[in-house]
Amino acid sequence: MSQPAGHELAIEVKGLSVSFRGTTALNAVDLEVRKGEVYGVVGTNGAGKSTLIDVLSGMVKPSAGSARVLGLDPIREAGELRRRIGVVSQEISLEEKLTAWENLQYFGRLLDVSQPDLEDRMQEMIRFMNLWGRRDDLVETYSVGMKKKVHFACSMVHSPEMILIDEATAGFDPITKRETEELIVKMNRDMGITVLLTTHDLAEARSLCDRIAVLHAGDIVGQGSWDQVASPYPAKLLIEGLSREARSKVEEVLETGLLERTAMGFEVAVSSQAEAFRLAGELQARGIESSSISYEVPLDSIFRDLTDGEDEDGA
Amino acid sequence: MGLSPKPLSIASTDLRKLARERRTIVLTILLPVLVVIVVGTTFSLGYQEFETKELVVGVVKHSNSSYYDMLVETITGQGARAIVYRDVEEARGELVDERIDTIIELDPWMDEKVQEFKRSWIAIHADETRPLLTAAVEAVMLQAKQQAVDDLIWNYTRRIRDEIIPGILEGLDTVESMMEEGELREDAESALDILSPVVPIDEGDLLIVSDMAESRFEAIMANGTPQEKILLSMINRSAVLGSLRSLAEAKPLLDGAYNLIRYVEPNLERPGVIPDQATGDLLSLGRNLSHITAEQAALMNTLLPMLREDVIAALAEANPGASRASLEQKADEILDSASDFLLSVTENEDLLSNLTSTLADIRGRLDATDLPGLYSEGKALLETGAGMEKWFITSPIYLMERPLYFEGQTKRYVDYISPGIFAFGILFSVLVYTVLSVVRDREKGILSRIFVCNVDRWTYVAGKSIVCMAIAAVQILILTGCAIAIFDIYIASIPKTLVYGLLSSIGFVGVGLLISSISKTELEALTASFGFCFIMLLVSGIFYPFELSPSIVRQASRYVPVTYTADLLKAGIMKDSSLVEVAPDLVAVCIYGGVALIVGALAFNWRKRG
Repeated sequence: MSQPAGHELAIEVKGLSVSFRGTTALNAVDLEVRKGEVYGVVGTNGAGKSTLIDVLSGMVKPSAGSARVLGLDPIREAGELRRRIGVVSQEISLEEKLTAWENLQYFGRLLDVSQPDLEDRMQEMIRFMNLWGRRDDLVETYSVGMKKKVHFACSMVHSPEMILIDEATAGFDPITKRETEELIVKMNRDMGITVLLTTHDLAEARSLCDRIAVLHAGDIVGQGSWDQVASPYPAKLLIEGLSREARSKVEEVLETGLLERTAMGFEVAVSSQAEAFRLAGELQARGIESSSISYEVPLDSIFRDLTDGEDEDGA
Repeated sequence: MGLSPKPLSIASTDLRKLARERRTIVLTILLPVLVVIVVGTTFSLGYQEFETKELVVGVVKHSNSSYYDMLVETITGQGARAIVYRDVEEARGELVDERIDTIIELDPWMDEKVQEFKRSWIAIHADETRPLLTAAVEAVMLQAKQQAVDDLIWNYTRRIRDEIIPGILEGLDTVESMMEEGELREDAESALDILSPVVPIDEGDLLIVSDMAESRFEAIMANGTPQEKILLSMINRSAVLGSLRSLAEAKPLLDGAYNLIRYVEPNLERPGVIPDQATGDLLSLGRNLSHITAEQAALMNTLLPMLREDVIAALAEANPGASRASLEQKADEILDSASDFLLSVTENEDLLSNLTSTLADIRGRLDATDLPGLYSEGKALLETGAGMEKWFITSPIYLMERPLYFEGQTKRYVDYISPGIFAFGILFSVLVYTVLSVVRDREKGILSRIFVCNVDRWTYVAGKSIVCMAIAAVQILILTGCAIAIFDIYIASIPKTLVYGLLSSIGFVGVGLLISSISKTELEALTASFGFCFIMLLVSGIFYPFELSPSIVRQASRYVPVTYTADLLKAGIMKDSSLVEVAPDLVAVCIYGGVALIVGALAFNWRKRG
């Protein structure tokens, strides 16, 4: 993750509401995304994540409120906006009967990239995605991970300043998911592209995003840095790699009611991140050494709490 | 949009995809071709009889023939409606404007021709992609033909068989029997004997004899001997002189008669070859000979020697320088010939009379009948007519088809429906391709991607229209190839067929966009497309005759774009029509196309429904 470049905003959303036939998809949403950061919008299915992307890309007109993307109105200045942003949809939307090269060429032309620039940019993107050797193969012969790369490349062929990614890894196997996440990081880090992504996976959001917003039923129910979002919630301190002597000391130091033995060591329930830091400091002060002390936030409970008890599937 | 290359990018990409997509090629191009081949084959095999309800038939009435009434009665009796026109062009105008379904035009001289057993005609004016119109008309005509055969042809033929031909045969029998019995031949030979002496006499010489005779008679009466005066008083001088003059005047007739009989004699067994002039001469001869009675001829014979010296003197005057001997010889020849002729007339008065009247009778029969034609025709008719059944009789009413577009050409049913086949092929291809490609792209999120690539709906629709026109062009060329190679269909103008087909295809793109907008899945879109196609086919009368459909369907056809597409293609395929001629259909197709394209574009959804 690159560092935010000051506080210049890439996206500024105020009181944004969207309704479809009486159903509220977004309800007075306020959101700010800084240039250069990776911002995650987390929410269950139907929370309004894709609608937010649609509004920001100018596909859907808001019912109320305003949105500015790169300082532009997504509806009134859609043409200019789309030349400066890339949109990566949840499903891989490629022409499967074309090659990767032809796909890039097709969407590049539609995006008004001039021919000389397009050639250079296509080569750059194909190499960036490590697809040079198979650039002339039909996309339908690619693995899902390769298709995802081409899918991203097509959204970036016009050198956007910012990219909107909708559910980038939903339904992927672990390997493809990891490759996609690495790609997003690489885009942000190496190309300096501002990223707004939506996901229903808190872990993914935590690993990729500088800041997140939790969206539930059209409302923002929490937003900020990961620590800001997670700190109020109970967590676990994992103390592992202890010698026998150290284990005894731990039991002496900590209240037994908080301790739970595990195969590798102890799990200590803490009420907050601050308490976890305090306990870790105390163990260190008592000379207790362990190979690993880690802090784990129970994501599912945070999610459940923020979303009124629904799990990640929206149940 | 301007000159933006985006529509071309969309079109070229779609075509590239299409070239690599076998399933889509099969669905959009090959399947329609297969369908039209099957349909074309089916309809080219012919058709059965069809109902004619609600058919409006224009009957062109050139004259007051009773057959018009019979035809109108037959048409209305079958449930169709008949409208009578006086002018065929007026009726054809009404047909073009579809106020009537067909025109039946009767030969103005049908009554006369039928009575004369000449070939008459009934013309059907029909131009058909509205397919079974011809069949329906033929159903009417079948009835009319039956009626005609019953009331007209059969009765007429029976009359010929029972009355006319027996009369002809009777006449022929008479002539033949006279020939067989040799009557004519004997008379002719005798007549030649009579006429042969007088033939060498010069006509002028006979006049000299006549003039001399008159002056001699006057001289006898004034200065003659008593015996001469007595002899002369015993004859009617004016009659004798008249006879002599008559003989002189009849000389050309006698020559003609002689030649006639000589000519006729060997040809008596060949009726009809006797020349008119010859038989006319013969009749004149008969009338002139009747001026000379046998008694007068005998008296003339006794007086002739008295004229010898006068004749010689007259000949000497007419031939100065001639010797006395030659003048005497010539005078004797004249007088001898005249004497022989007069004797022959005296002796053969009855024979000549018979010959004259017999030849006159033959001539009368010959004049009264066209023997060469009727003889062979009547013979042939009688040979086959005895056991003849009426349905074996070829209708003398010739049924002509005079279609608006196939003027002067004989066409089959498959030719009439070929524009409909083309229209169906284009409709099916364009519709299926449009809905398949749009719904597929939408389902795969490609439409959303295209949208965020700064492509507006008009650009996208323009791109799709280019692709569809390309598909339609390929479709038309394939169908044209099939039409010519498989069905041997006449195509008046391939370029115009192509242009009209392409224009029509634009409207179908709009319809395809509309269908794709209301469909969530490929299955829904294809089902809707097939439904639309079949409704269009039935309502537009491409394959099924809307003339035979309920009136509400016929009215509906006016509001269906495929009707005008078929009309336009008719103009291209069946007739190399000018733009002016097809202007109404062209305007209708353009309006439909424009409206459908605009509505389809406005209803177009980039995102998935639901």
